[in-house]
Amino acid sequence: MRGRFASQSTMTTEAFEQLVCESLDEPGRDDVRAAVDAAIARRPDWAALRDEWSRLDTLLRRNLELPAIDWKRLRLTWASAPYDDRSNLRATPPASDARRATDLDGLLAGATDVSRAVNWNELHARISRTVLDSAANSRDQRAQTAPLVVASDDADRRRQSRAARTATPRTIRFRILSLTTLAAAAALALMIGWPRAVPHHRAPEIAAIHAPPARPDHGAAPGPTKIPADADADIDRHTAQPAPSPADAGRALVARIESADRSPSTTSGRVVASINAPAGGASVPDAPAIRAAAEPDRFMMIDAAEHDSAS
Amino acid sequence: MTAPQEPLQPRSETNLDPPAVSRNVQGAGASDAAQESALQDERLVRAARGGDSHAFDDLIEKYQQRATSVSYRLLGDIHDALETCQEAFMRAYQNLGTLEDPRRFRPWFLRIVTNLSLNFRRSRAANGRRVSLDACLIDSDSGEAAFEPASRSTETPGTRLAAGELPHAIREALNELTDQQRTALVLFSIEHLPQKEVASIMECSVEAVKWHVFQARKRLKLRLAEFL
Repeated sequence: MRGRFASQSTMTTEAFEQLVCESLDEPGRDDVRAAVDAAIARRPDWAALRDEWSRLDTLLRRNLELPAIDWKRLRLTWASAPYDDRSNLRATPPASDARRATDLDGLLAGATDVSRAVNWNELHARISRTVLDSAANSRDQRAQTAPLVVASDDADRRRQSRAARTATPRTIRFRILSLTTLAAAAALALMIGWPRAVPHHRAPEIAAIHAPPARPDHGAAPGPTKIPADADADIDRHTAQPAPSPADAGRALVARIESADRSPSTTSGRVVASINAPAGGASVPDAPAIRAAAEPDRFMMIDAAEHDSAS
Repeated sequence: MTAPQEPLQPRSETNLDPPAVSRNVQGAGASDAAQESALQDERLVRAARGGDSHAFDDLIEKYQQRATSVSYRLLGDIHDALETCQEAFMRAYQNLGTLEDPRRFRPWFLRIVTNLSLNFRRSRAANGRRVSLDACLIDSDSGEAAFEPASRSTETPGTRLAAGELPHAIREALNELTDQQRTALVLFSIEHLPQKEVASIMECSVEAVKWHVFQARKRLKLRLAEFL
């Protein structure tokens, strides 16, 4: 006898029963059947055991048979179930739904060109009103919830107050909504060119002129020089005065130069003049230029800023 | 010259007769038949995925008896078994796209049937319902549309009572088995599915299947000793 059962001379009862079960489940295996026969040859009392297992097998098969079923009818019943699902997927929507879908498509198609469809002025006004109303309502909400925060020794009221404070989603949502509305309004305002409507105004605090680099002996920090706000009056006053004629300005400047020329404080023997130096609020480029050109050993031409720094 | 295409019309799987050959060392004829059946399944599954409305109908025709038999033997109630099988076919249809190897439709589908049957059994146990083959026979007499009682014409109330005692005892004994023992016994010993396929359905090893079958038989033998 060949196979894995040939050397099993000392087989236990349970091993034999397993072998019998295997032979019942796989009746086509000759090696298993031969092993069972060999075991029974060694232990003849196991023949009754094998018969018991065989009866059990027959009992199970006989009593677990299916009732008679109309398979054709059953197949039709089952086949219709999954295909119903498929037909649902392909079903045509009701007419009302189809009309709504068409309307929606038309609406979406027409909404592609928004710029011509929107009355921007009206929208601007409405957004402004909404923002203002939202701000007012937000203040009202805060005013309404404020009384809920009470100072009381009563535990229940404190608990209610705490619950009211911690569970105020309406207020929180409203504030978030207000911020969102404000942000949206700002974005829309930028889009529709709101800044262009605002007149250009340079505040005096931020108006600056570029001064020349400060000299080390002056100790001033380099950089832009800010004009103080209270200087506006002087600037306006000076600019409001009528400008003198170039001839008058020239004469005045020559007089100043000659006066300075005679001044004992002049040590260098030269007079500093400027072609752009203000003389009564007007520039007089011609007179000092003429003098400088005529007497180059006595005049040096510098610009107005350097003149201011030197003085 | 190409081989002629096999018609899609399936042959219904029947499992009520014991296997004539071993399921571990199958002969060439059985192996060819299994391969042919797997190839037919593959064609039907691919056709069903492609929108062929008749392909899944053919799969139902091919496997309805096997599915009903497995579910009935796991549940012990033909009504529950039919309900479970319908659900299994619907699940299979809806999840046909997830089947990686269409040639393995049978173990895949029988796993669905088995799992649904065991789930049904657990929920039924949780609801306090008891499995009774007698109840099934009485329901059969009421004339349900989908099936007819077997051998009704030759039965008398007396013989039915006598015959119902043993099935009732068998049903009770089966109820005492664990899910794994019951599934292994039904699929392997009664449905005669190959061990590898049973192991695939139960997601365990072949040796575990053998062990569960043997333990189930031992418990049934002990429980049904008076009928042996």
